[in-house]
Amino acid sequence: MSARNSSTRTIRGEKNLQEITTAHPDGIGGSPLRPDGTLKVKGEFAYSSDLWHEDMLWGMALRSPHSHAKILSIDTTEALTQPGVYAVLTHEDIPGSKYYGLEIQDQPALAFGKVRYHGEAVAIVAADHPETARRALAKIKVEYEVLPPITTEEQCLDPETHGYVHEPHEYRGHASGNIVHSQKVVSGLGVNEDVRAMADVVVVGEYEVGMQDQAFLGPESGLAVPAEDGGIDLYIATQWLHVDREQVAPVLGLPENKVRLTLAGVGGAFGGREDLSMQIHACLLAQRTGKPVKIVYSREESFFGHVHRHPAKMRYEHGATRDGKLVYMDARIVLDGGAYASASPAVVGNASSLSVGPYEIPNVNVLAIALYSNNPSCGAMRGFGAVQACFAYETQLDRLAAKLGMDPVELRQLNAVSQGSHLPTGQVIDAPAPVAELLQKVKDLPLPPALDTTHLDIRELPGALSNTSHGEGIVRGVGYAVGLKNVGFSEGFDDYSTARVRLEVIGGEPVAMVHTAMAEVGQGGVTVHGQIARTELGVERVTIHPANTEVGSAGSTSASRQTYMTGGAVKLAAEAVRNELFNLGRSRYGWTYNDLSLIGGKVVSASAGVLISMVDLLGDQAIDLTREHHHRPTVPFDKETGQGFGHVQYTFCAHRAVVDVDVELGLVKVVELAAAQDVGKALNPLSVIGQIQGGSTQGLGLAVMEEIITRDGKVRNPSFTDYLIPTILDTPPQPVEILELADPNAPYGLRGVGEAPTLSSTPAIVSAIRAATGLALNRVPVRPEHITGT
Amino acid sequence: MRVTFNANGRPVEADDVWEGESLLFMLRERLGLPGSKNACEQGECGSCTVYLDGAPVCSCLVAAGQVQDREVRTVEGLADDESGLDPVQQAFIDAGAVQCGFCTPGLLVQTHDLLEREPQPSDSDIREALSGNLCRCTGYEKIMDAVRLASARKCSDASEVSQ
Amino acid sequence: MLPASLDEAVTALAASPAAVPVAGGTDLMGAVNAGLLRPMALIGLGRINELRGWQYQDGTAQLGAGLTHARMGRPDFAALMPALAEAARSAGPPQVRNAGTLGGNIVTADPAGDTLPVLAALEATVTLVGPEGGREVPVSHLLTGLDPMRGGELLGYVRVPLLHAPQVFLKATGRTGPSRAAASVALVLDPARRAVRCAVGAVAPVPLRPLEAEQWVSGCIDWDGDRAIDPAAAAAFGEYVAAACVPEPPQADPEGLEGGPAAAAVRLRRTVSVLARRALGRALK
Repeated sequence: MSARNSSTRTIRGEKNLQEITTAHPDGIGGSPLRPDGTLKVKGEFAYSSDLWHEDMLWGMALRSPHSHAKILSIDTTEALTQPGVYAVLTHEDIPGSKYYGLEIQDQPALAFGKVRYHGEAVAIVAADHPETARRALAKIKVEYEVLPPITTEEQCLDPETHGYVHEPHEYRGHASGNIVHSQKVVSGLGVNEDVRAMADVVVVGEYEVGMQDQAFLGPESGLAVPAEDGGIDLYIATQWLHVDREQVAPVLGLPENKVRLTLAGVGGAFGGREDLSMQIHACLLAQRTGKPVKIVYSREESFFGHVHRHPAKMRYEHGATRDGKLVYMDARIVLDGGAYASASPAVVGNASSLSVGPYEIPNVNVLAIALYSNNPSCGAMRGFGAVQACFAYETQLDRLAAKLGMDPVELRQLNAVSQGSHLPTGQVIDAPAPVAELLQKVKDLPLPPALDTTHLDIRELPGALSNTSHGEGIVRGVGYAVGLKNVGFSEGFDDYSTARVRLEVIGGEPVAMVHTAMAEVGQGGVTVHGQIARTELGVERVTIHPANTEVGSAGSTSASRQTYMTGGAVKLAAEAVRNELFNLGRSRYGWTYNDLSLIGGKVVSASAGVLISMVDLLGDQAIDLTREHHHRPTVPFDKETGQGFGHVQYTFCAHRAVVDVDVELGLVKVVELAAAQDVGKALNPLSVIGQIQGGSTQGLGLAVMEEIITRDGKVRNPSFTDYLIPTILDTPPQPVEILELADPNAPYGLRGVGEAPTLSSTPAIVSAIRAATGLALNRVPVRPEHITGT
Repeated sequence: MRVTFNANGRPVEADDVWEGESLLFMLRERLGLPGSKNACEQGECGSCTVYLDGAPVCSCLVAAGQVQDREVRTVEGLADDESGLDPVQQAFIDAGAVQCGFCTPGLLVQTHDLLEREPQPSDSDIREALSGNLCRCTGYEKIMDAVRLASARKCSDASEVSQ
Repeated sequence: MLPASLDEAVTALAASPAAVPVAGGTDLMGAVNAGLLRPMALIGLGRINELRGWQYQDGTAQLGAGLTHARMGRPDFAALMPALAEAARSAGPPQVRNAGTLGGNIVTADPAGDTLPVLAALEATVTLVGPEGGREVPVSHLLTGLDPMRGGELLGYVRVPLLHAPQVFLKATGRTGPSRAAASVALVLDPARRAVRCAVGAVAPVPLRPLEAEQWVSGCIDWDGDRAIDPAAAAAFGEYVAAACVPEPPQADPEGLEGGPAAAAVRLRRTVSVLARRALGRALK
């Protein structure tokens, strides 16, 4: 591996902000090592919080202690006089637009008039040391008039009595009342008394999903460097550089071309970096002071600094015939979007359109809404909308199976969608949909051995080293679930990606350089880009250019879309480079072959054999081409019926969970979590399995421990001491079965991988706990008191 | 105050250190050693794990002044020579245990210590030893694989040497 | 300041009374990083070798305040003071146990401090050393504030009786990996005095001793035989301990308040009852 100097701006020689070149024979389907792996294990990979610049200042935000209050005054005088303090800014100092937002521009960059959630940023400080900044924040005087917070569904839906989170005249998008967005889906006959009469068996349930946090380990952070042209260079950990820029530039009062973003190392994302956090604040402070400004959130601030998974309250009703065929489903899904819109409209779109799960149901009636409230803002988190619905419909299917006296897996298989099935949106699944097969795969795996009480290792029991159980009170259970997720941005959004590929001879070898704005957040996109370039261009050496806004947008690293979309763009650009190379040969040597390919650094004709080496053909010429990849178009869902070709691709994962439950204390240890997923084509099998195991583990967290607790809109547990995520002792062996049934519409037939495993993991685990305890358990996370009944 | 100590085999010193500053901050911001990570600064995540006089500790919970005259070894000092990698580092790459990589430096130090103490740990030993290192990306399975791989490689290297 | 002996440390503290003594630093730096504490000066105790070990002394063990949790979790320590070893081994992640000390656990006096109920059940005493010399104080008097630390004093040693009988520590938490106790129970048998001693941690600001329950259950045990106990008596003991240590729940929670104080108290009683029953069962196994 080598790090080559390039024209890319770096700060103190951070190696991942330069080009990284690796040589490897493996194209797609292999598992070559990550190009950034060596830097990461040596501690040399520069995450956004690691950046350092001479003369740099530290930025910090003052946040609201109230969930709902009027701001009567802000006095920064004393803070400004502190030695070492360079700037104290409020909304009055914003040179451009005061609002930003991912889908709806409803969020103030710094609060004015009102604060709408606990932790909303009110003022920002730049100082020479974080401790100086902290002390300066304490000197800012903000006078609040505390207002009663609007936090419950009942309060939100009765604005006449409880008021508005945003005044109606401020509404943007489709908001009305305290509802940010709503979507209906009606198919077949809908659900009415006649339809209900067709069912022999009905189950009705109410379900709740708590507010989960992405809990990525790398805190929100970045470095804003003022440039000589009056612009700003921002080094940042994000999921989508270009949409950050679109939101930042107007607030700074700068044209977009004067705000240049480069991706710094990203310590995980999971949706939590789709929205802006400290980007605008660092830029404003850099603009004001003329000095580089770094902001790094503490873990506590991180809990306030990004949006969370929407908590949901859901009412589901399923009707089926005596032999288990589903007749109808009626669902109402209420998502709490918190103070600002963030991704709420898209979350509603997914929750409603995917609300039935991977089942054929002839008659469907669904309403999904997201509320504005004074709770923390909620937005994107892995599998959004679909995760909440999956917990509800899979619980319903278990209950229906119990009521019918059927095996829960067989009931699912009986009703499972397959290629050609109609979803309630009217969309036909036009690619393989092996739902029944995936369930069978996890069911057929051997079960882990029973708890061995004669050779106890307490580290394998619930509580482990807490000595909680030596086998006392332990009951085992097994549960299954399967889910339905879309890939890519939906509802008519032209979700394109751009890639630039350059082929040239360096050091006597052909080298492909791949340049995109894709946010590598850990998923391994950079590895896959190299594999695609190798496959298409027959080279071994690939250089990954740092991601930045010098190239066109790569869209977001979310919605399981990056390998499909930006991987697809790299494929297109590499193919174009290849064609250009062939044309070079044709014009120079008069080739007429139509059977050319690039193999092992050579141009090969299937009929005539090796024609020339790429080194000789290229000489000192470089081929440098940029291509955009657009997925097939989709359309918005009809507002009243939800009908429409709304999603690009569907993806499916099934889980079997085995749990040991300490029924006396309510602690759960997942013993094994098996998954089976159709990935279309595993471009990098090692990474695919890593995605499935990681996604499943986040689902495990939601099943048994993870929840942001609020009271009157105030967050009670903003720390890793009180917001628990799974440790290695909480996480079991996870066998993974991969299916590769190609999707004819996707590059290489691949299917987005990242999110599907997060859906079904949660209901499978809760189903296993139900099997162990016989309890209903209609809420996640399942807390000890739900199991002990007190 | 001024703090002088040994970092990765080299004497270092930091000036104007605030009494409440952590070893982690001093390493990252004053000594150009940002390999140890700052994910929680409450001792819950293990991302900042470093050796202090041979024992792995959370550097966020060590006051800078406490390390006066002591020996600190960070992820940047794990590999024996400039070009190579420690077997634990190599195993983490090979096994796919690195995704975002933010937890990796802490896990490497903690795993390195485990294999020094117990060259052939059981799965439960591994889970106990790494129970203070949160990882949000991998679901830990590839990390288990990496530790087993590093253990196997170290043991086979050792047996080759002894033969 | 990095004194090399306890005497030097006492002198240093006398010279700068505003300085904060720091041993492992795990509690102190957590508070500093959270912005709750802004120390102007620190006195590092990590260099004081005499505080980092332990030794026998007249049927007791004298433990240096600087003993780390990792050290206390080792087999040689566990053979003599099993409950203290179990508490030490469960007291947080390995990295924190490598640094955090017994003395720090006592001085911080976090309600969920894992060694505290064990020390209370063992009726341990602590040696406080100040400018006027040392004095011995029962750990419970120190924790309850009956006999608090005085200005200029440092915690030097902890004296623990060696009972040569089963001892148990266990706790209920929110996950299987290291985490804070929702409730913990330490239970020790003292065959010489034919006594069971028990302390409940994390349910109140200090560990609580259910003295009547201890006395009652001590009378249920066949001390000269196999020390067996009727399962019903063990269950009753659990209930007894829980009733003694968790205040009676209010009649009902205010309407609409999910998980209010009544529900929380019922839950805590149940947890403590199960922990105490299991502790007794294991000690008498």
